[in-house]
Amino acid sequence: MTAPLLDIRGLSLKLRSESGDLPILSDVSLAMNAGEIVGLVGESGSGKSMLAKALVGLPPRNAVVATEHFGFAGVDLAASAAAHAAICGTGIGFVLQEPTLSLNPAMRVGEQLAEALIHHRGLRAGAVLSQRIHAALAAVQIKDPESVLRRYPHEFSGGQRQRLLIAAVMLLEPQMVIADEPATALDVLVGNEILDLLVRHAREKNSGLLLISHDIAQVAHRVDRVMVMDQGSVVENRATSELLRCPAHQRTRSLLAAVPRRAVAEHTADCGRVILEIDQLTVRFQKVRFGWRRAQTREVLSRASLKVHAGETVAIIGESGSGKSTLALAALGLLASASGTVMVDGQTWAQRTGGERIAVRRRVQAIFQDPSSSLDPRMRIEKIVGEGLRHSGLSSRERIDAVHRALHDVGLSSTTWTRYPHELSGGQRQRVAIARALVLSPELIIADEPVSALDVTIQEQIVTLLDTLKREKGFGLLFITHDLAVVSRIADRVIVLRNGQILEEGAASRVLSAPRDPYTRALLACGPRLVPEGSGYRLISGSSDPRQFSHEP
Amino acid sequence: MTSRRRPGSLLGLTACGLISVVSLVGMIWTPFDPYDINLDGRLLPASTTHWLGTDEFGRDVLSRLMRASGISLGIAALSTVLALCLGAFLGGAAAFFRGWIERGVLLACDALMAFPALLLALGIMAVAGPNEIGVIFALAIAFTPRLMRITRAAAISISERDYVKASRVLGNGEWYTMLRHVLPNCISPLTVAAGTIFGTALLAETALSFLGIGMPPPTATWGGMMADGRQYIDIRPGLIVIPGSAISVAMLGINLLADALRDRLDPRMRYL
Amino acid sequence: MLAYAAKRFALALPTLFLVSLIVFGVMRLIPGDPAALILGDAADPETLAALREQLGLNQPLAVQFFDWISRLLGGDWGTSLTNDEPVLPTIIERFSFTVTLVLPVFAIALCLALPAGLLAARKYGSRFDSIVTVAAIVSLSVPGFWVALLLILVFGVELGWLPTVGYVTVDDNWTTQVRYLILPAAALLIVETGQLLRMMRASSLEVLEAEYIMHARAKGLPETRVAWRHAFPNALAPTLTLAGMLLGSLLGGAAVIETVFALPGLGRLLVDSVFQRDYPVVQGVLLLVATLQIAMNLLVDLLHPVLDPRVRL
Repeated sequence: MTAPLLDIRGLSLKLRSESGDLPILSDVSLAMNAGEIVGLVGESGSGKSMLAKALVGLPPRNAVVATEHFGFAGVDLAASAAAHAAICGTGIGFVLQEPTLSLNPAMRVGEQLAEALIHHRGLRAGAVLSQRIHAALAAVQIKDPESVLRRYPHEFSGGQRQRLLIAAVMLLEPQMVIADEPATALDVLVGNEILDLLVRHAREKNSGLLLISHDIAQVAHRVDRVMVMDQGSVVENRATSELLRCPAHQRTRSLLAAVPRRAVAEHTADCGRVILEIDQLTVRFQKVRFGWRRAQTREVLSRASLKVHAGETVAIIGESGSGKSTLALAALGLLASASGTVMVDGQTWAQRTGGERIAVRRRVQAIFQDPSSSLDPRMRIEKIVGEGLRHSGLSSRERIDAVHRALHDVGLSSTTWTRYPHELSGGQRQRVAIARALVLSPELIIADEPVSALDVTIQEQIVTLLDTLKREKGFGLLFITHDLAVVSRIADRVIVLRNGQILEEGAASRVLSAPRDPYTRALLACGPRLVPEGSGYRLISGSSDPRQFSHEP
Repeated sequence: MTSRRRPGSLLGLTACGLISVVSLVGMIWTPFDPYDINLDGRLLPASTTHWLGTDEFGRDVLSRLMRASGISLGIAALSTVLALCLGAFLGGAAAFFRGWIERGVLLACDALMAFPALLLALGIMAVAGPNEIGVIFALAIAFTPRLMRITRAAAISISERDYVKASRVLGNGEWYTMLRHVLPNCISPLTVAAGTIFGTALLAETALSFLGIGMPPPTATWGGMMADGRQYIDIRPGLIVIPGSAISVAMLGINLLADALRDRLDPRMRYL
Repeated sequence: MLAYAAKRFALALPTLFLVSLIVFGVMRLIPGDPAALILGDAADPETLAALREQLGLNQPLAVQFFDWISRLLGGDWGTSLTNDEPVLPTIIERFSFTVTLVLPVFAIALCLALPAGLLAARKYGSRFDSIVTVAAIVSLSVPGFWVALLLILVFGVELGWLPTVGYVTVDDNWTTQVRYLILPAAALLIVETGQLLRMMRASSLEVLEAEYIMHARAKGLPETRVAWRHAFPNALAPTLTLAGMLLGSLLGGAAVIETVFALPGLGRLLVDSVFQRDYPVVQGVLLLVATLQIAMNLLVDLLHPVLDPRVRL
């Protein structure tokens, strides 16, 4: 057995702040062999991102890092920052999370790809250099290299930029690559491809790959070994199959339990009357609304039709730019210009007059994506929830009771009721947002990506809460998400939206088990491949190739 | 992310506190009458009676300094408040109504900002003539466009937040939403801006009175005291050094405090 | 690019129009009409009426305004009330002096502030950073005339090294001229560098935390390249906007410092004219100053796409 490529022992990291030192990582040890592919998973705040930055020697300014032993390729780098800096790029490559921010906006792509080669390999601009760069671009499936190199980063989509970044890292042929959530900022299909690309490349070059993710289901089938982080330390570190078969640590189990199951329960929603009916809705946005030229318009939604019945959960699935949020705004009557009709209880928003409009508004409520921006930071929780009851005609006593009942229903203990939003956790804040909707006893709740800003384990809780409340209170639920897996458990019907068009619609059980549209099939193919088995889990192999859909329009 | 405490914020607080106390006291009580001319005791050096000496008319420098700090700070404060009201109103209107009102307000803003603040104030003083109201309005008008832009930008960015959408979903009217959700959340950026503008306004006021276009003589102002002391720079340098230092201490205090305020209220700009 | 430039230019025109309207309007707000001001208090009603007629003051305001504009465009900026000389040549002469003073000072300020700001940000929290921070805030906190008087006090009065007040014309040799300009230039430099320094340091700190800087470092690029090739152009963009505003206002005359040193600049011309209630000159100077500022902003707008290719249209 040869010495491992990367051998870290006793790494700890503290952040200095005015209120004292904040420990982030404590006594982390890890080893990676050449050519090994390892997954590092944990919730946000578990320290995985900070570990990655410490490994590449780029921790934040106010961080204090201490290691007992930092071995890379047989050399101890703990003693010398200069030696650590020397392995950057050529020894360890680093792929960051946010591709739209990771390329210098003011520099042509060509220079950004060439600069490190020029520095490390002493190459001059010329045939050898451009040949290498072309090869790297081909490896990440970027076409038309000549024109690509002349352009600036903002001219590319997120997925393409992540490819360019990977090319920039791969060009230096590092012995190992650390990829920090490389797929999280991208749409499902594109992100999936990026992960495949990284893994394929690592296998081909026999280089190490440390794949960091908050989602164990995203990496489990791609890696040889999984490390689980919790509160700044590695709590479990075993071969993937072994870890799945019998997860030992509590955190590992909760991460695995949070992975949505594909198994769809047959929902028997007793369909009530139609609450929301959208017919042939078309929304155009003007691209440029400036100057004397009348701007071109872009169709964000074209002729979309759907119905939501009382007591029914309808899920709308789509990636960013599919028009799903626009659909939500239109359904809420917040969009001024649109053609087609949106009818709530048989009447369009436009037909209603002031007082009526307000009355109807209260019957259709919304939950937004990010609870940190959907709650007014200057109001206390009770006020936020009670605001909607201003015109309810209730006495102040009755109002307070209603607010408390709603807060109780969403599972918030009374200690939080008089606090401000920033004093609560993300999950608690989303509960407040649900209570605010609930207090008006609405007939329909429109939830626009209500869980995507939350940690995986919290996501599970919020989805369950919404489902339970729906059954108790009998409201209709329009659940908008990019994640098929999240809705599989609670949706009665599923609508797949892409580029403003509805591709497929049907009962959840049918769409998830026998999708008709190839796009839906591709989406399903990159969902989690974990199935419970005994006390643990088992990996299943995927089928369809999602590649044909990932190139953004 | 916690912002690093600046050692300066305590210093700023101390300087501002000191200057405020001196100005408040100076408006009510001074050791001598700051306007009492005594031609026998001209240009006296510091002594136990006249702690900071006397000026070319024999007036007590300490008394004039104390009164001047009240006047200079008062004018800067009043013009800042006036600019804040005007700016917040116009900026709020632009953000709320959008359309041609916004375009009109923005155009007026651009046009006014084309004049450097001090020169615009100079021009307005040329029309208004040297008097208190003139100075206050000249400075207020000169600084209104910046506050208007800040208000508009803040209001627009806040109107796009989800809690404003949420308020509409609850059935709240536009005016209610504006007053209850948008406006209160504009207070932080406006406070930060007002802090900076206050400093700039004070600087402009001293410059105007130094040039002799601000408050008419014999009113005691820091700038005016320095202008008067200029002729005696070689025999009594204290006549310019003392008010000059007072201005610097006040400005330093205000700037440091404004920075601390920005750190707390507007962490996005924490580095400035 | 050309379309962008044309568009920016077109957008500046309404502002320019409004600026001239403001200048025209403000001068009409003056108590008493221009004819009375020209003739002074002791004018008899008949001469007054004749002059009104001659100046076109009996016309409707709109006509007067467009008449004024067309004369401006024709190069007739009116006549000074104090010395009966045409306004435009005087303004141009004063302006050319201001330019010779301001441009070198501004160039030096940029050369000092930009690298120092970036360096301070790179060495955040170091001794150098503290010095830069303190220097910047002190520079922001001292009024120009105070610095000017202090310099006169130290170098002129106490040490006697340099002339304190005044300026000699072209007849003398240039070394004498330069000696007269050293103190005013130093005063300007001290007052104006602070803002640039602060802005550059702040934007550099922000840029240095950006992901693309981490990406550049993770590729193993040397720090100097990361700082100058990656951070500098991006940090420069916001500073450039401020620089444009500062230069614009400086070209309008460093009124205070020109007055302290008795220099024949544009700012002092404005101050003197305000004192003498010489409204045609005040009008002319204000118009020129505002036009310069608009031109400066336009220039900055045109430079922006060079630094940040995302800025288009």
